[in-house]
Amino acid sequence: MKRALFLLLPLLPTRTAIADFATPFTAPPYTLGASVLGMEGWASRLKDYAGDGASSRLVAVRWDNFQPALLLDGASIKNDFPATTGARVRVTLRIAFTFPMIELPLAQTRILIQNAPFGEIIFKCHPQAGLGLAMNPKEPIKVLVPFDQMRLNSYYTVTILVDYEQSSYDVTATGLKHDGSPLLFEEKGIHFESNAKFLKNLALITSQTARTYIQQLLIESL
Amino acid sequence: MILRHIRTALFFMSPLLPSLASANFSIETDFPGGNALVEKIEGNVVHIAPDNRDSRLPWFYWYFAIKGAGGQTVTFVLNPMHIGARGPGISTDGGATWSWLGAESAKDGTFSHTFPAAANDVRFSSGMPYVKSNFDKFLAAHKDNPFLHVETLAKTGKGRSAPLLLLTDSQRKAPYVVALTARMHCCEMMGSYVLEGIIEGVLANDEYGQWLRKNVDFFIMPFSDFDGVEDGDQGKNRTPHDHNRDFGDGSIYPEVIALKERLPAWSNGRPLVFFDIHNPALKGDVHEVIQFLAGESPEQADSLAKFAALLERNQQGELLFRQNMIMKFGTGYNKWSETPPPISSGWARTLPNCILSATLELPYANASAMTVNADSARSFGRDIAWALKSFLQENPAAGRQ
Repeated sequence: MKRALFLLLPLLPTRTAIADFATPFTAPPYTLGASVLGMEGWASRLKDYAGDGASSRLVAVRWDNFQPALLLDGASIKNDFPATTGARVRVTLRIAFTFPMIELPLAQTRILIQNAPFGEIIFKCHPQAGLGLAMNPKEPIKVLVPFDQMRLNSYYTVTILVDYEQSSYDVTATGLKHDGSPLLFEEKGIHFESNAKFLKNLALITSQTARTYIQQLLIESL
Repeated sequence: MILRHIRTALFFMSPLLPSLASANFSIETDFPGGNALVEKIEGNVVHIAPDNRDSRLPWFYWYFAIKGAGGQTVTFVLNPMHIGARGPGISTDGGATWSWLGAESAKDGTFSHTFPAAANDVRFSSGMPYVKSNFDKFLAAHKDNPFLHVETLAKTGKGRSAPLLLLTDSQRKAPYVVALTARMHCCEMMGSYVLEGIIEGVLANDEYGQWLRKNVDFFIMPFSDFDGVEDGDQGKNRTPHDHNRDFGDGSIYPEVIALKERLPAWSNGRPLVFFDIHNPALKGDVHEVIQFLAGESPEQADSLAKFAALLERNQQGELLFRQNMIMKFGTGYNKWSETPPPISSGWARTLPNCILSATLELPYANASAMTVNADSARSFGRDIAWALKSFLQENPAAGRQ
């Protein structure tokens, strides 16, 4: 996480984005095999919870050409990054799961970003769920990738573009379906009502019944 | 009428079924691993049962080809207990690759299949059969690897050459030895895919493979009951006893005798890890959970617990393993009147250099709601290879590194 890290985005050649939060797992101080706790703002959500060291580690992912990713397995961690400053904010997430193909309500992964008008990014093992967005875990999920189409150990890229001036957001999800064919979810102009004009602080909560890999998590002010 | 030991049985459809009047097909088992009894044919409905052969108790393995069924729909009727948790296995390439038809494909032991017009040889089985030709194809992909050595372990009772695979640097001895056996019960084919995954992990050009090749010599018996694998026997509860009950005094099977002679000499006192890979019953209960069967001593149980913790931590495959998936000695079906039990992993634990020996049970099709197939079983094998590295690196009692 580098507050003042500037990236030129190929898709927006005339604009500059500020990466308010990024996961540069390929760079020090991150170390393969080691917990991310204590690095770049990562901390346990539950005070003195000893299990987080093993449950939130950086690994070289075998099925992704050994590219590094944050492996979460029964984790409950947070990162208190500063508030975003842009009139538009883009959240980009590249995430994969190992999970049982049955209804298992507690097999969840939750990504909570404070003030997010789209709610949580959530994964649930449930026929009416999958990977999607929800205002909280008990609310119905806006399904981006239906559970029965999800592919194990296969990355999904979720991009959410929040426009505070228009009070709306766009969301896309790409990846592979269960049968290996391409998946594309896209919905634009989803209206929201919120007084908050920024995102800040992040929490990752995962169960032990599904393993989660995060290869990229990027929050940018545009 | 029961047709025993079917080689080629050609059946013509009844003239009373006008829509199928011109249809015909044959059911065959005259290939490696083949096993089926055709109990009766009624139109396009075929009643199939496993051929139990010399097994004292009924078992569930069957594997047949249907030829000449292109363009037809054929219904197969079996005992419901002889179809697994994800339905029958199906192969359309002569048994080279397999998939499950799906749990919903079979109801009350009955499944139907509509064959494409061009289909000629379609295979069905209780599992995903794996015979010597599958192993040869796997080895061919690694034939130039200098660490891979194939020898003959023993001449079987029927005169076949049972293979022994050694993964070793012929220029030097590694500090550790890992011995792997599979197909003690010859029908338990899904273990062969796990074995492929472990071998791939050892030969991989990653840091785990490099460490394993430098520090471990692997002694691998891929077909412990080689005649049974090729002949398509059940193997389980074979008369007078099966291969995995042949590890007491007076062993009778050449592969077992050779293992008992060669492994102690080959390991030569080096710290030894021994895993015997099995599949449990076809479905239900604990048979749909990955299990390691722990040994009788606290030291062995502790070693297995450490290995299981590392396997859980390091796994990246498609099957989720948890360290509590250990069947403690004296519980479940890991109960024995003899100590050590007269099974391969029990025998290995009697070797003074054995630091860990256990039996692995990989479910046939369903492991804690995860799909077991060739790919996921191989990926679990890769996980085991990774855990072996960590276990031997991190366990201070394991000897020098």
